[in-house]
Amino acid sequence: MIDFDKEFSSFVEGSEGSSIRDIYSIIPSLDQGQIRILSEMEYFAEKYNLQEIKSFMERYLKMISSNKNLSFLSSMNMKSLLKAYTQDELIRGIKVQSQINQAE
Amino acid sequence: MAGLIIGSLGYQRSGKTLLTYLIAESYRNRGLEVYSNMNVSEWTTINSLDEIPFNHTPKVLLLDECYYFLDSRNWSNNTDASIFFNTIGKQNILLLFTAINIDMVEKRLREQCNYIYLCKGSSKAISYKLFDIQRNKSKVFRIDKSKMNWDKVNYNTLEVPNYVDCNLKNFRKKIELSKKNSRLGLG
Repeated sequence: MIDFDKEFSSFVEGSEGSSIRDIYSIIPSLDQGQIRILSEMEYFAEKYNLQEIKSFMERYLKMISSNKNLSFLSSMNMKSLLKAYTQDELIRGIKVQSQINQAE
Repeated sequence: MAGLIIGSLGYQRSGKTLLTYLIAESYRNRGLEVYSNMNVSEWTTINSLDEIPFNHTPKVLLLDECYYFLDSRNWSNNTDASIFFNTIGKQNILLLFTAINIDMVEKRLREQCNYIYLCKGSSKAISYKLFDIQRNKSKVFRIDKSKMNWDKVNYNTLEVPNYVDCNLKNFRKKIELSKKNSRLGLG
């Protein structure tokens, strides 16, 4: 017999579409200065084949990407984004158009 | 094993009816009966919610532009309305409805939604975001208009859907009859 819930939940299951994960992924890990320094290090590591520098950068990026600075969450833009991502707000009547604009 | 309530939301010409039509058709192709206020030749067109048989057979109920008749102000008997939406699951109904905004829909239906589709149409494709309300998950997908087989779409997109009478005067009788049959072992 057909189980509607099982079919729809399995359709959603395969996605990465968790709101929390989506929000976390867009939070930046590095500022402009760090990006520039890392790019320069990468250039020289490639040019002179410096394996130690490459492994250092790999380790550093791994740590910094899982240790994000969340202080900017207090900004209004971020608050609006969080609101748009909140399904509770969506059901209460966040405009469909604004949701879709956020997604694009 | 239970029925579901799924809403499809979007502005006019956003592809919300198309999506619900395709879902309903996919279940009809698997042998399920589809009840709707749309005029599709292979479906059962209803003018009243009372016309849906009260049993546990899986079935699809598609209510297009449901805010025409499922606005909370239209319900004169709240008890019957509550019983009807609570028995959606028990009756194994896949209730698909379309609306422009969820706020326009009857509160009991709105608050029992399992899934919500947000729809947006463009010249080349129709984009959808499916929200799983209870599990807090979502998925984005799109239908490419150029790859769509429009010959299979068998409804008039310009037709205004029927008004469905939501007066459930016979609904309690059906429940009583079902209980009686159950006691007598008649299924």
